[in-house]
Amino acid sequence: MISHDHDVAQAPILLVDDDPACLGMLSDVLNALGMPVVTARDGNEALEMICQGDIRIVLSDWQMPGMSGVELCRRVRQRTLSSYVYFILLTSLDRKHNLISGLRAGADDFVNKPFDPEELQTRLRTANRIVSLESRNVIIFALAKLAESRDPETGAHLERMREYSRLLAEDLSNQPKYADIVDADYVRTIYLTSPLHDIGKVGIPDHVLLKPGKLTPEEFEIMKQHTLIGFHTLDAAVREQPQAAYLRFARDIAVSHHEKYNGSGYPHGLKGEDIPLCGRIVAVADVYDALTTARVYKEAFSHEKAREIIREGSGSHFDPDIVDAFFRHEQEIIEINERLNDSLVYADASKMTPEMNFPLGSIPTANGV
Amino acid sequence: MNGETAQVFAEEQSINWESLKSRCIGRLDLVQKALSRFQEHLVGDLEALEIAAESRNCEEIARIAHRIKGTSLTVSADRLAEFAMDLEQKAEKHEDAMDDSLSEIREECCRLSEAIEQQIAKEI
Repeated sequence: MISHDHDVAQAPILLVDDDPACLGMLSDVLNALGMPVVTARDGNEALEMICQGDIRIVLSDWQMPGMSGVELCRRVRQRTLSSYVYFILLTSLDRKHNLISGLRAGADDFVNKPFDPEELQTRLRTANRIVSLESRNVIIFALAKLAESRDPETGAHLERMREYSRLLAEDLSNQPKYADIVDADYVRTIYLTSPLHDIGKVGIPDHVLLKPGKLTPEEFEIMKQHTLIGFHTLDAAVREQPQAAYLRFARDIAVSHHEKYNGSGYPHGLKGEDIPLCGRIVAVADVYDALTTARVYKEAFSHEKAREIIREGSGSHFDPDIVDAFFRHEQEIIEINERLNDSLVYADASKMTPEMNFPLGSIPTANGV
Repeated sequence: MNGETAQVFAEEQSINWESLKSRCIGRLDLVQKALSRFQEHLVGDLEALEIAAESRNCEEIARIAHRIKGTSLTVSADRLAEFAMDLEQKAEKHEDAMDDSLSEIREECCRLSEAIEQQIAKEI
């Protein structure tokens, strides 16, 4: 029996087939079953959509001119930074497809052509349940927010700086020098992992982290340790799951976002392009946000003042390429800053105690009552 | 085609309507859309097949026959799918005797076209 109800939100399904008649019918039937679909006519188009969009389930024909379904699957599996994509291959009944080659390429399931709608719906629901289990992105952000909750001067800092980081990375992806390094995966991963940059602050003692004023040189030495605490925390996760490239990315950001382009930063005094690119990007995003946000010991700087500090830091504190990217998107940066303004995002901030930096409000319960 | 074969074909349906309706989750509007799309693309595929056959381009014949097979199976035009599969296999083996398969495909397409039009008229 065909069922129309949903237990979890259905992720969009990418249908790939060079045959428009098959593609159209699959699309019509799945839409009628309440499953959102997008379509591609060949492997290259599909790969581009997977790289650009947020596709979590792919249903692809096996045999297609140009890139086959198996090759498409293999390419999808090579994208180590991305979220898991559940891949189903459509196989013809008359063909003795080498299912082993499909499995080796990373396919999760196979569906015979012509499809049986009931079977297909059941398999797609299984696919949806599996991708729903991967709540990686939410957990990462929750972890970052938890670490940040100890820091009184935060507000929507993480939300803003991941937006700045994404914007700067997107710009670099369009520059010939970075085109081979920064792709859509890179941009998504910096958005995902940049909020973890200060995760090491959980290990900084209260009298330093919460001090309402300028730190003494000794206290600053302690504060600097947050980069190494973050590194070791995330490095342990990397060792636990070495194939998770996004963890290495997060680790590199945590340890390198206070390095300076001229080598005067910390913790290692790395210089120029020895500093991981992700760290160089986050450095600009982090400093700009710190400058334009009020702290206990200072007022928020205007954008004009902050931009001058960023400009003056080009080549000394910051990578000049990233600073150029910043100025190419200045208007969008101002818009992010205004849209995610603390007084708007955390409207109840004035009612908070300095130690408990949480917005007031009713406590949601599991069943919504 | 001999008389016996013609008799068998006349008795069988070109499209397995029950199977097609079931694949379209019982929705007649989806059946109609599927058939319109099928007819529209079949015309182009047949033309391309004729061109490829004239130039004896086996690779192209196999590719188009494969697509016709897939499309036919989707709308439960099982007999056309069989003929297309036969042609695909012959083209892949670079066999010379592809003309019979091509004739079968042409004739089946005529029958299909008639069957689809009759069905659409019935639904209207």
